[in-house]
Amino acid sequence: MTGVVVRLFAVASLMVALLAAELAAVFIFPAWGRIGVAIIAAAMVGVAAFGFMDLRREGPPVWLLAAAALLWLAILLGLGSLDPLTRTLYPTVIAAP
Amino acid sequence: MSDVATHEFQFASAEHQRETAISGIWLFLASEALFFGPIFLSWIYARLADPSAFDAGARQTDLTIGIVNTALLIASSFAYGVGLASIQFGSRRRMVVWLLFACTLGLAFLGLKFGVEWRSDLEKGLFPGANFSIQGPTRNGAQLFFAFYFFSTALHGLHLIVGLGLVAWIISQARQFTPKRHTPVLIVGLYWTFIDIIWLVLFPLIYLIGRAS
Amino acid sequence: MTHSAAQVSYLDDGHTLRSWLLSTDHKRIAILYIVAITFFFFVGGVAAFLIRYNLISPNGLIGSAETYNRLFSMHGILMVWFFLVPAAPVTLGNFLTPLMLGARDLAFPRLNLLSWYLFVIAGFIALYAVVGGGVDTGWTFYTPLTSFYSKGHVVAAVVAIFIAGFSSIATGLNFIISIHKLRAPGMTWYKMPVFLWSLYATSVILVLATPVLAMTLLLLAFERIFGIGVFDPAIGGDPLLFQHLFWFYSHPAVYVMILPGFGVISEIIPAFSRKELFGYKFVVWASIAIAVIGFLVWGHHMFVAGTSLYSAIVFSLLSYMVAVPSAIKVFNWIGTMHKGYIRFDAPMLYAIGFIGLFTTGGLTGLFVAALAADVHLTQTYFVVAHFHYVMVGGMVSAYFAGFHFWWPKMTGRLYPEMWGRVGAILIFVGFNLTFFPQFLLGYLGMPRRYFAYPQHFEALNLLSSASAMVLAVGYLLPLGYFAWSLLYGERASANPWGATGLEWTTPSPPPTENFAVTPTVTQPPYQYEHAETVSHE
Repeated sequence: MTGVVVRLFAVASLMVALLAAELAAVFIFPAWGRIGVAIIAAAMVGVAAFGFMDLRREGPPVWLLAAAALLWLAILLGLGSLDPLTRTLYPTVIAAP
Repeated sequence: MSDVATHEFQFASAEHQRETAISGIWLFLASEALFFGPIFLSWIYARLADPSAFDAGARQTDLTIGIVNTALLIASSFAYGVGLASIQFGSRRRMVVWLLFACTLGLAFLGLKFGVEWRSDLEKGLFPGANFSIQGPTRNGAQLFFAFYFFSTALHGLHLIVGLGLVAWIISQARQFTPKRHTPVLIVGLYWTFIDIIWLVLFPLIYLIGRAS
Repeated sequence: MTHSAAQVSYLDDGHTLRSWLLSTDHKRIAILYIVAITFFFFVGGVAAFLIRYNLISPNGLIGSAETYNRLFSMHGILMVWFFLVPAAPVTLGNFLTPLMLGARDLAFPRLNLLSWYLFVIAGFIALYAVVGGGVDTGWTFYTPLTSFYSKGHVVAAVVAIFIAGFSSIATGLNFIISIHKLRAPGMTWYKMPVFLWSLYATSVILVLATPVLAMTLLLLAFERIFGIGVFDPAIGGDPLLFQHLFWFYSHPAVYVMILPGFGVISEIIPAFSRKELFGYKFVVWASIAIAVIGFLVWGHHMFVAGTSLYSAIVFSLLSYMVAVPSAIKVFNWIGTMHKGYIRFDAPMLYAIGFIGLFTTGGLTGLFVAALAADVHLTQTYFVVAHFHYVMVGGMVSAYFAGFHFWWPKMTGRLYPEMWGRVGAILIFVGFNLTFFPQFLLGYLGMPRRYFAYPQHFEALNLLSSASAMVLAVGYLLPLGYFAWSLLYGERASANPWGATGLEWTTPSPPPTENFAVTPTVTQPPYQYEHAETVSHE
């Protein structure tokens, strides 16, 4: 029991530390930029999935399902943003209300 | 109640039923992840339309509450994890205490988010529409941001409320659970942490990217 | 395997309404779904009838373009979400998945029952939306028309589709987990019937695409209710975002409609050719490939909508890729029939009709996937004809094929074979005469969704409308002889077609627990060359 609690506490502490790192990336080390924030956020998601949800304990079928979710999100966000990222925008005038 | 695990007739054993239920919840969570996909894509589109105006909107959010709420959710996942470990090691009473603690943290999140933060946002006239208070060149982009903000936080809040209901159900059924049969505790725990994960993505999208350089 | 005489058929296990409406037996839920699905098919069919009725005359016969808009929206919404998407998985899939797996039920029987209730509730809300007031947006709900200008029950329609979506997700989840976890001893992945592989691919789409549609519709409802949102161009929002999200679901949903059909055809063709399925591994991996590649092509619905040229080129190329696994399947079915001992019973007639109609629909799909050709063909009747060949010619033919094939198993009765063949031929002929003229109309430039049209399109429209009557008779005929067979049909044996597969090893209709003893699988599927000659007794 103690071992499990210690492990969970370590996971929670690591996540709080990553939260602090996110804030540092914004306010102390602006050079890390938005990419830095995104990488740290992704790390937090990974820590939660493996630390709290114990993804490693589950068998290959569950890994497959988790991987499928990530792959399909990548398809949606990747192919979905291809259009606005490569679009030629012609200036339009929107009447002020 | 005895500690002999039973199973439904389509399964070969109680262990088979447990594995099946856990695979089921993971697939459900995969589906949930895609459910939030359009929110993330709409953030990308809305920000690309006019990044500086969108970020100007984002800077109107209350960062302190955002940070506290993130910490609350991390703590609540920790509390739930300890509750789960308690039942696995045979202490039903301790499980109930830790799950109640997890619920309290979740309620605190909801109170801060909707009771304090939303109220102040609405008072500041940040709900998009004719009465939107930000004027000037960033008005449109900021409105897009707040359309995203209210929609996504409301939806995340709804999930959290469902999660609270599920944890309350687990607490009310606590007498059923033993070290050998507690699959529902495990399953609700996975959902509970999943709600955290959604927030871990929303938090930087709402509070941080607009403030980063 | 032995069956004790004490086993009660699932149809006799309780005769009260309650024993049906609260049953968690997958077979009873399948029957409940058949009732609901058939109802929506005919309501959607009435709308189609009125559309064709209007188009008999160049000036329109129903008097109002507004009414016409509501009719085709009603037809689209009901047919897509309350027939085409759910039909094959929730009826044939629900009934057969545990039987083919050698299992006693699906993994989550109560979730299965819940999905039926969600579906029925959604169906009634949709009926309220499309009949009591109507929706004039088409089934695609494009913004900003839907969010700001349309004057119908848009929110009610959106709520209905949202709820129906969760019914789909529940079904898909149940199938995937059951296929992973409930296979009988010895049934490895490559010993599974192709129908289960197809259903697995279908379910992947249901589970991973439907939530995207659900959220998109919520965003749409938010925008319609509050008058502002992320699709609102007035504040820099992008209406094309709606189209991207919508088609991220709705293109793969096309494969949800057709993939179970592929599975049905892959069961029927070996059974009626008395040959092993040619290229089993190619067929099953083609299903998976279609499910995955189907997610990479949605942009081809938006070539003229103002998306970037780069993304349009990418989507056009990816769209060609999805033709490859589809073609593999067609070649494998033909390869299976080659030198087979072919019997032309009704299921096989439907199956052969399916191959022809699906191939026509698929090949004309390549026309509209081509960036340049699409600019001419999009928004015309060419597109209407193309997807009706795939959806109605393909999916509905396969659905009927499966229905005839497994009817004895579901009901324990044989249907009148002669009438079955007449129906299959009527549908094939009526379908072609209804929809082939629409290819010509579209190529000549007749736009879709229009209430009236120029004089020179009249002859082809008249032909299409007249043939639709033949098609309608073809669809009504099975309703009659299936009902007849329930009362007077000959009793069916456990395996009237002499087919392979675990579902045929249990009595017709199966007992509530499906198998007295959990079967053990030792052979790959479709071992027809080694099976004894078929007898029709």
